[in-house]
Order: sequence, then C-alpha cells, then structure tokens
Amino acid sequence: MNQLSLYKSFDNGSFVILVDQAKERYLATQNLDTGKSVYGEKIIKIDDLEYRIWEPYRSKLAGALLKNLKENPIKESSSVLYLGASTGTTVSHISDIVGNKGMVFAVEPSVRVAREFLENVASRRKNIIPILMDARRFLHYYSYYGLVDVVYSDIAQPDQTDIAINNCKCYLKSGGDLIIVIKTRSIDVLTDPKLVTQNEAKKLENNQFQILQIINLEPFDKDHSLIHAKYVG
Amino acid sequence: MPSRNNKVIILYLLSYLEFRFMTDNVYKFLILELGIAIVDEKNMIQSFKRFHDPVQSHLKIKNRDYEEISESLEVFKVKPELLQTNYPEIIDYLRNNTFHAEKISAVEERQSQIDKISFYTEMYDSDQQDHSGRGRDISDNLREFSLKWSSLKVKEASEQLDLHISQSINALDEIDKILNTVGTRMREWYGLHFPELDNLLQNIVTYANIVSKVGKREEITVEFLQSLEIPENKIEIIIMTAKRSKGGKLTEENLLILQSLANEVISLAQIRKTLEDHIDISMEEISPNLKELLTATVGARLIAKAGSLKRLASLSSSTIQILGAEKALFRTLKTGANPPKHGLLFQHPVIHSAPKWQRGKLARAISSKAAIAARVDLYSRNPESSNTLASKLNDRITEIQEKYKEPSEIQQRQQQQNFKRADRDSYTRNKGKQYGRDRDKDRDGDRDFKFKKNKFKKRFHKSNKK
Ligand SMILES: C[S@@+](CC[C@H](N)C(=O)[O-])C[C@H]1O[C@@H](n2cnc3c(N)ncnc32)[C@H](O)[C@@H]1O
Repeated sequence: MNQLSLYKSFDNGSFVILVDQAKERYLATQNLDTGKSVYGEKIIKIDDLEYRIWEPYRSKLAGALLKNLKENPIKESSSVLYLGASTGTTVSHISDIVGNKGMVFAVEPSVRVAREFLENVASRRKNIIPILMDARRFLHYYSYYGLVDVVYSDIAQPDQTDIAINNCKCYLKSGGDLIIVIKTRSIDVLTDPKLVTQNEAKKLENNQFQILQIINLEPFDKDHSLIHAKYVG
Repeated sequence: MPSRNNKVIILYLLSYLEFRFMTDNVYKFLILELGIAIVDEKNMIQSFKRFHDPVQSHLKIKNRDYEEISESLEVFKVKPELLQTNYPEIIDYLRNNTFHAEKISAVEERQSQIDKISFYTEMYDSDQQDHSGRGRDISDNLREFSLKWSSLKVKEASEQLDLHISQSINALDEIDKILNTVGTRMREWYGLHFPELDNLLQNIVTYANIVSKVGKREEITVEFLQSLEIPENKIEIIIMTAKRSKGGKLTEENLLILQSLANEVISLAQIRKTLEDHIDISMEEISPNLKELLTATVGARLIAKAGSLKRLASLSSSTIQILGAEKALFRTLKTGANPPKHGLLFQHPVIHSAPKWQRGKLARAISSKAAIAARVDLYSRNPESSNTLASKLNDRITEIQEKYKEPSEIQQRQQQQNFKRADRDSYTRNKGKQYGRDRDKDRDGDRDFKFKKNKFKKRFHKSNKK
C-alpha cells in the first residue's frame, strides 16, 4: 500500500479517494485527531495533510461508498444522529468529515463498548456528543438538541427499522437523509436476505420516506445491505 | 383617594386576573442536562435555573435530594393548576408539595427536546455573553456534561460488575464442590456395574454422558463414544473392557436414579461453563490488566477476596501476595512460624507449576505487578499498559526461573522436612478448585484428575493409620 497519491477529493478534502501504483483505490478521511489511529487503520500524510485510511471491511459506510453510494449526505458541517456507535469505528470517520462546524450525536447503550468509545473517540473529538442510552428511549436522550441533517442507523436489532423511523420522526428535519444498515440476519434468518431488505424498505416508504438507493454490502459484509432514504414527512 | 367604585373595579380586575391565572396556567417543569426549565403552555420560558455543576445536580436529583427543584418551584407565586414534568421520579415529590403533577405527553416531550436549543440560547443570553460563538458554547457545555455523565454511567456499571464477579466466582467454587461430590458418588455407584470404566475415563462429563444417555455397559456403541469425541484407541479399549467387565448387574430402578445423578453432573458442568465465560467477559470489562496478568479466575478471586476492585487497588502488593492465606498469617503472628508465601496467588499457573523454592519469589513478582494492574484498571484503564506490565512480569518470571533453577541449601534441607503447614494449607484449600481452565490446558481437556488425587489422599490416610 506504499506510495498513495490523491485521486479524488470531496467536501473540501475531508473525505478523499487515494490510489496506489497498482491503481487500487482506498478511501480516507482527513484526521481531526491528528496522530491518533482509532481501530488500527493506517495514517498517512499527503501534502502536509493527515489522512486515515477508511477500511470498508470495518465500516459499512466506507463499504457503501466504494460500492457507489451515489450521494453521500454526510458533508462538512452536517449534524448527524448516529444510532449504534459501538466502539466508534464509523463515528470517527464521520466526525472527520463533518469537521468542527458539524456535530455527531452518538447513541450507544452497551457500557462495555461505550467505554472504549468514550476513551478513544468521544473524549478526543469536540464534535461528538455521546449519548449512553437505548435508541428505543429516544424521547429521553440526554444531551440533545434541535433537528439533524442525517440519521445514520446501524444497530442490528430485529426492530431496527422501527427504531430508526421513530428517531427520524423525532429528530430528522424534513428533507433530511436516513442511512440505515439492514442486518438481515437480525431480522429474519430464514427469509431470503433480498426479500427482508425489500420489506424493510417498504416499511420506510409507508412512513414518509423516499428510497433513494439500496446497496448490497457484499463482499465487505455478508447479509448486510444499506438503504439511503429521504425523509419527506 | 380612590373612590369606592374604583376599589370595586380593581378588586374585580384582580380576581379576574387570578381567575385567568388559575384556568390556563399549566406549566411544564423540565429537567434538562444543563438546568431546570419552567415553560408555559405556549412554550415560553418562564424561568431557567442553570446548574452550576450539571453532573452533580443530576446526581443529587437522582439521589432524591430535591433542593434545586424546590428552589425552582419558588418561582410560582400562585400555584399552577397543573405541572407536567419529563422526570416521572419527582411526581410524588411535587404532589407532596401540593402541586398537581403528571407526566408530560410524548408529543410535548418531543417538542421540548427540539426546543432545548432555544432554552439554552436564552439561558446564555441572560448570562450576558457575547453572541458570537454562543452555539458553540452551548454544545461545548452539553458535550462536557454528556462525557462526564457517560463516564459516570460506565464507572457505575463497572462497580456493579465487580460485586457480581464476587458472586460468580463463589458460585463457581461451590459448583466445583458439588460436582466433585456428586461426580464421585456417580462413579462409585456406576462402578458396581462397570468398575473398569473409572480408570479409563477421566473426564467427568464424558463419563456422565455415557451413564445418562447409554446406561448399561452392554449398550455402549462405538458411534456413541465417537460422538463424545473420545480418541479412537481409547474407544476400542472401552468397548473391549465393557464386554469382559467383572461388574455386577444393574436393575432398572438403580439405573434410573443413577441417570438422574449423571444428568445433574452434566447440567452442573454446563452452569460451570456459563459461569466461567461470564467471569471471563466481566473481567475483561472491569479489570483487563489484572485478567491479562493473572487469568480471569485468579483475578476474579482476588477481587472477591478484597471485596471490590476499589478495595483491591488500595491494598499493598505484600497484602495481595498473601490474600487468602489469612489463617497462616495469624499463625505466624501468634507462634512465629514461617509467614505464608502466597495465598490465592498459588492458583496462578506459573506459581503452582513452579518448584517450591521459586514460589515465594514468583508470588512476590506477580503480586507487585497485580497491585499496579488493579490500580491501572480502576483509575486509568489504559489498554497499552497491560502489554508492558505483562512483558515486564514475564521478564521477571524468566529471570527467577533461570536464577533459581536449583534450590538453595537451606531450602533443600527444608524440603526434606515435611510439608510446611502453610503450604499444606494452601494445598488443601486449592484442591477443590482444580477444574480451572489453566489446569485443563496442560491436562488436555482432562477435567477430573482430581479424583485420582482423592484416591491418593485416601491411601495416604490409610497408610498413616497403620
Ligand atoms: C453492528 S454494531 C455498530 C457498528 C458501528 N456502526 C460501526 O460501524 O463502527 C451495533 C451496535 O448497536 C448497538 N445497539 C444495539 N441495540 C441498540 C439500541 N436499541 N439502541 C442503540 N444502540 C443499539 C450495539 O450495542 C452495537 O454496539
């Protein structure tokens, strides 16, 4: 992977595609927390700017971007409600992208993973507000205000879509974007994954969402797909 | 001087105003992260009491110290008809203070979540700060609160966890005892029917499976033994010995009872496994460094013995070294016998597999690192330190093992004497706990070599009597 060079840049360079000599493509975000690698990803310097390689096998959003997510709604200075922050792999990259004018509200109920998240990510980045709660209790979120531009949901629960819809109805501004990762195996093990995804997409459509794109995350993640939808409610 | 008429009008006006105030004064009493807001029906802020230290204030309210709430309530000159709150726990308190109180509706709750930003903005306005960067200020404050509050929650959960760890490890020990008793009984009983199996099969769960699922020795099949993952050569021997067994007959009634004993062994072993996994995960959570250094079960025992991780972290390394050997220690103090070299730490695989003369030194090396690990786990949770601690300890262990390959002369002499009392103590105490994972590793999944030990003990006693 040595000798990476800049190939394409988005949103003022907060998120870029790099290529190596073999023309292999790598995603990267400009590191807001300089010098710190969050999950073992490589840090590289190009023209005095520091980037973190964004691993598609570790972060589903990176996988979706490499599989041609047509429009990435998360931009510089976006505010994002993130459900299922886990240890902060994806949150850290989103925090890189939205930058100091943006804000990420990161919900995670599991104390076990939240500790790592607080230590390695949330306490080191000024644009993250951690919310240690279950996304089902969205009305009681502490440290929350206003409406957001994007809701990102990756919580691997049987009722994941309903949880995401409820959160959107409460906090997503009209015309805002929902990105939801569907882990089909959490919803239904027996039914064909494609069908499960379609059912969840239907649910969204019935709740004032307009489906923009559905991406199957193979080969980066098995039995996962990602839906990008617009909230028209 | 006002005329009588005027007076009447004023009175009328006043009562009208009061009436107005009485009918539609429904207020929302909102406990937010940075303060308490009182909002009227039209979502206009009537008062905002800012917390000086939000985390402290929230803790107070959580612990039912309602001082700040009562201060906020003083705003009301006239009691409102209804107070709605987003914090159900205080409803009783409000009612005791003659307020009509109820929980806010979901719709209003949503609205107040969204409106929070304006509450805060107003609060900051009244603080007379320059307007530029105010939004940033608010989110900085919110962020600070949420970080502190989350860390507190994490810490609370961990503190809870170490109490549970103590219970789990005690349960583990008790299950081992029962497993040992019931297992031995099962072997002895089934031994009347198939005595040779006792020596052939060490693993108590495998043994119990044969008793429970097959029963009589004639019905043991190769396929079944294969399903238990017994090695091929052993399977052959078992089948052969079953045919030639000198054991007696087994009646249906006896077999049925024996089988329920066997089922008990199997399910206890299952619980044991669950407990062990649980201890492993919990230790990773609350005390990863200690776990790395001592293994999950030994680390958990230290925590249980000390009472909590906090208490353990406050102990000196020399106390940790002999934690669990209190009896021997008191004997030392009373009679001047040799002090114990190790208590619970004896169960550390490195120590109990070491030659006797190295154990004291190893125990000291391990306990000094364990003391540091406990403190690191309690206060900083720095994941990197475990590597350095563990590698330093390993260096020291190799050093001891190299340097003290042979016992010193004094030690050699002592060795020829009988068991030291202190060591015998720790021997008997730990004997019941040898199901542990680490023993299994060296013994290749063989869980119950201790039955052999028991036999050894019996013989030992017999010969003593003679
Ligand atoms: C698949 S992981 C998310 C990985 C993460 N998005 C990333 O890419 O780095 C799912 C996370 O959702 C969390 N989760 C599960 N149920 C939840 C709920 N009801 N509300 C919020 N988070 C939940 C889990 O604790 C877990 O950390």
